[in-house]
Amino acid sequence: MDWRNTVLVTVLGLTLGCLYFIAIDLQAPTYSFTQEQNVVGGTAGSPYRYRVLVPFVLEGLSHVFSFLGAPQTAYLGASLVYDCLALLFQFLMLYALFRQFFSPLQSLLGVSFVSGVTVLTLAYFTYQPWSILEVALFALGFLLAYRGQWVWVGVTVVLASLNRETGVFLPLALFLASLQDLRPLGMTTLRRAAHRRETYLSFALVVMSAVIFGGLRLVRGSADPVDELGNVIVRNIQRNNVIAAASAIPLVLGFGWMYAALGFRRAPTFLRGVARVLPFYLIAFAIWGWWREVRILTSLYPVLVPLVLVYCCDSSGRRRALLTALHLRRAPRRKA
Amino acid sequence: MTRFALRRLDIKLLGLVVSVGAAVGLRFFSDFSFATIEHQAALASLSISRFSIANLGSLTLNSLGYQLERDWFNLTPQAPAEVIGIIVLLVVAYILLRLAVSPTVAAVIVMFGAPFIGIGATLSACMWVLARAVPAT
Repeated sequence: MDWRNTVLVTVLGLTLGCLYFIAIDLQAPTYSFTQEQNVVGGTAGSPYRYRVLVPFVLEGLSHVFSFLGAPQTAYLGASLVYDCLALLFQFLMLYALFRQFFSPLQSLLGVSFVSGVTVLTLAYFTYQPWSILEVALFALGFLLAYRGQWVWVGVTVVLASLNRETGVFLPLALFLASLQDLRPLGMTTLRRAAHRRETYLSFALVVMSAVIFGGLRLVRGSADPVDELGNVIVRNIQRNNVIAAASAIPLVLGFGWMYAALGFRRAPTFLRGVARVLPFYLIAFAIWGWWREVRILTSLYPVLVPLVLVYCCDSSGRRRALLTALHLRRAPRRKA
Repeated sequence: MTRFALRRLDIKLLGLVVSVGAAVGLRFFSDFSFATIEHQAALASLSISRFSIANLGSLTLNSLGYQLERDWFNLTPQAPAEVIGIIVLLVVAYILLRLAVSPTVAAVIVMFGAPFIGIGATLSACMWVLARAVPAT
């Protein structure tokens, strides 16, 4: 464990947590409290009614903070603690994921970059606490899958599916990553792929996530959508929103978008594999998302930022590989 | 060969530093001035007539909330200079640090500190606003 880096990541997580609280929860505390109460009481519109994990966690935390006074004050206290802990968890999970492929310093570089650009995403929404946790759960899911701990991946997928319907992208990414090489495309290749452990496990997790998606709708009843799809599309193509989205989407990763694209081909197999989920996620974002609300794109940090690091840290990696190769060549000569 | 690789590495990391600078700059400085701080304080009915820790805390929270919540692409006239200033500040800090430490360490230090620049600048500006305020009679 890199203790010094863990402390630095903790400082970043808590700082961003406080900024999130100031930017979001403190802006419209009554609205946030009402939204949370609506989700817990089962009266919120779709899809919020089915994003149950965080509102129930916040409800539990609010009881702990009931000594602060009125329920809304207790909820505000609970929100501050949740924002800080969730962002801390997010940054620690990202750091742990990066450490599977990069040195401690390079991993800290990735988390520092994420913390810097995350500041830009704190806008255009009021009550969306599940988005913080989603990034953390995606990073944790990838980390556990990379280590082959599939039981815990299953637990993470359950939590991600209870957290937000986009949780299905976690097992989908793992499923796509497990399909290593389908060429030549044919029945034999597909049958061989289906027999791989990672493939059928991740496919089972996709099904499980879909069952949770349907189950939540069954248990909590059908709800009118908060935003009709037609309204979302019309709003997205309004001039102001197009300008805002055209500025915000490139800025949310900055040069990172370019670096991720350039790093893709050189990335380790696992990172290249999970990156296959990108088009699916971006299509969903383009259809159902509000484009200027770049918070939604933060869920892609565990996929994109490792690719950024691959590109950025490639030179030093190559130099190290070169030095290792030189050392290996010299070693037998010395023996001889 | 190694020098060339280091230069490329520097430029790649410089790109990350610029990206973070733009994000932090636009988020914190799209409408940042003493007049804005005073105006927002008036809208929130905050007392800025005398310097105290409680006043400084509430004024800083109020200002940070406004900066982080507003439409950042709707820049005020002074904002472009401030945002570019932040990016230049981070780039200069990176280049200076690069003279003393490795490119990666320099980039980590600069990007780690970036969010604190926004917080620090707001806190300092609020201190200044309170310090120069005429005490209520």
